[in-house]
Amino acid sequence: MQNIFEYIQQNKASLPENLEEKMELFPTPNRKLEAWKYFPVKDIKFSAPATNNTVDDKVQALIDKHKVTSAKTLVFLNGSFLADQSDKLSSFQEVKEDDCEFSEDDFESSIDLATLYLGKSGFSLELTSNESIQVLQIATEATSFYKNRVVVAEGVEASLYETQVLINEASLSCYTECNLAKASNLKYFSKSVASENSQVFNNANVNIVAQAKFESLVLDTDPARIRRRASVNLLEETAEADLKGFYLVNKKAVVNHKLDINHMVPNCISKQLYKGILDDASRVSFDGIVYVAEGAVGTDSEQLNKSMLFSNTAELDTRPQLEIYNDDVTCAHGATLGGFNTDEVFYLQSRCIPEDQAVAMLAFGFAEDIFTEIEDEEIHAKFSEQFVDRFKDYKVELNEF
Amino acid sequence: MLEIRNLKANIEEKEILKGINLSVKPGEVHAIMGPNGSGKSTLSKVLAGHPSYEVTEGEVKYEVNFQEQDLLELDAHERAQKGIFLAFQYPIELPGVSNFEFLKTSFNEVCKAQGVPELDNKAFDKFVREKMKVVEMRDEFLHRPVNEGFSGGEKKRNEILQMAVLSPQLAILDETDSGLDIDALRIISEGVNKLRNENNAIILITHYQRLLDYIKPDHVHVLSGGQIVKSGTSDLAKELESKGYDWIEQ
Repeated sequence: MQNIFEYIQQNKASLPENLEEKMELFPTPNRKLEAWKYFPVKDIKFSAPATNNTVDDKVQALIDKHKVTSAKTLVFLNGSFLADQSDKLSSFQEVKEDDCEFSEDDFESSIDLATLYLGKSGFSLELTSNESIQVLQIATEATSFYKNRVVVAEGVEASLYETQVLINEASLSCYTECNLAKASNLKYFSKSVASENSQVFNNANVNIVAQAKFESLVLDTDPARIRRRASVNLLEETAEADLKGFYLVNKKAVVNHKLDINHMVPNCISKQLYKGILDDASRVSFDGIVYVAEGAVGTDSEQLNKSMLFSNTAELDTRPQLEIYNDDVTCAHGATLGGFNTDEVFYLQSRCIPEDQAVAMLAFGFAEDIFTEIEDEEIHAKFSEQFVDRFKDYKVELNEF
Repeated sequence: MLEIRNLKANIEEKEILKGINLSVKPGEVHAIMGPNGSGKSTLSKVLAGHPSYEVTEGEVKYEVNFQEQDLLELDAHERAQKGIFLAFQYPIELPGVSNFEFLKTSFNEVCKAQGVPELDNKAFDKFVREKMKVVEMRDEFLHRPVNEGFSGGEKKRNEILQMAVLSPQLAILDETDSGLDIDALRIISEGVNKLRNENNAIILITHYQRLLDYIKPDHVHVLSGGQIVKSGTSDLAKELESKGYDWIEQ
């Protein structure tokens, strides 16, 4: 697999002018950067953009398996939009290769810029009525780059369900810009189904104004390298953000949640609840910052990371951080680390349930506590089933508390 | 039904039970009273099979379906499947696990163990709603996470609902009356009385006479220092109420 920077250098002629120079304006991920400290940057291997958009039997099976009936589905394969596999949707327009009119203000690294300029496709959604949309992205080779835009119109309540499926050693990089108009609501659900050597990079920039609410729930369960970064900007009073996530990881999985929640004005609410289970030599980092600007009085913010470690070689780095520039705020932040204890399991055993099933029930409850937010029964079932399927591989030692 | 002989048990190498002897027959209600730290809850957990307790001596014979078993040989879930039920003093909260799913799984595990068909959601829903009437529980509790956000009284009612669903042969109620107001005590006691029959037995662990006003025991035992130091009829409980536990220890 070729490094993306080498690719850009070798293909200067066919790429946008000055891309190489522009790349230098943004930091290249490295361990010295605080934001990338907990991600194995040396393992990042982007290849040249994927090109194969042929739907063979294997790909068709993946599409059929992951498509839901409760939402209109847009299907993408290896960086290309598949119109004939997708539902017709008047609110959708494909983002074309030459559309690079994205705000670069919230770019975190040169990966975002590369995604913008190497991306051949993406979705642009102008949501003017209440609707549910699924975006199904399948990656079977090389790297898929997508640049996406979502605009939710005033008063609209919409849901967006993203399923990212990676096989072989594919990589996926998405940059998504999302704007919520007054009194709108966007429920965003995202889950990855990723093979062992795959990589997923998601970066979302979300802007929320008065009375609008952004809710997100993400799930990662596979031994891939996954980074989810979100920059959430609360721009007008009464804007609200509620972010949740769950990770169930083993082997050498890496999951990195990097969240920047910016309270720019008074009286906004933000909540973050990230939970998960780590086994084997997996690594998870929760790196969240709640920034409260000077003058953003009446801010109400919660930030909590709860994890369970099932192995001595798993590693969790949790950093729920606050950066507050005024006094009149309510901000809570914390992290817990533990495991299931004997008394909890005994309670279930005393109700006729064998130990291994009792542990599975407790673990499921730990996740379901978050999944219960998903009102759509079909999508809820997809999350629950993925958890149950993956948890079969986990062996738990109980703690005496 | 249950024969406990010279039962001794430790937790973290500290001996708590120092030779318990107790015989329980079908249809009987036994009350076990005693001061704090006397070993009452330990006895209940040892009988139910809590893995943190180590039995160092003695035996517990349990007869179910005319077959005598060594109870101590069985895992906790196997004991439960064979009809041993422990109502917890402090019921555990299970966030994310719905009461319905929990009760259905428990019930179906018994079905599996007995080789009878399991109930599907619809059949179990009908079954459990009937049982909820026993403890006057509202429908909303069925789909809430187990014990999460329940008041003390609601948790205890939920324990008796589980007892109603599982129809145990031997129910051990560990301080089921603690933390209950008068109305909740009455409802729970009436629920337990409805579940009593000539084939099952109940061991009531309590500090107070007031529970025994509702659930009449056939035998009352006083546990002190890890041993049963006195046994008698329900009059013994009344005497304890007026004279205190010091009277026994003198």
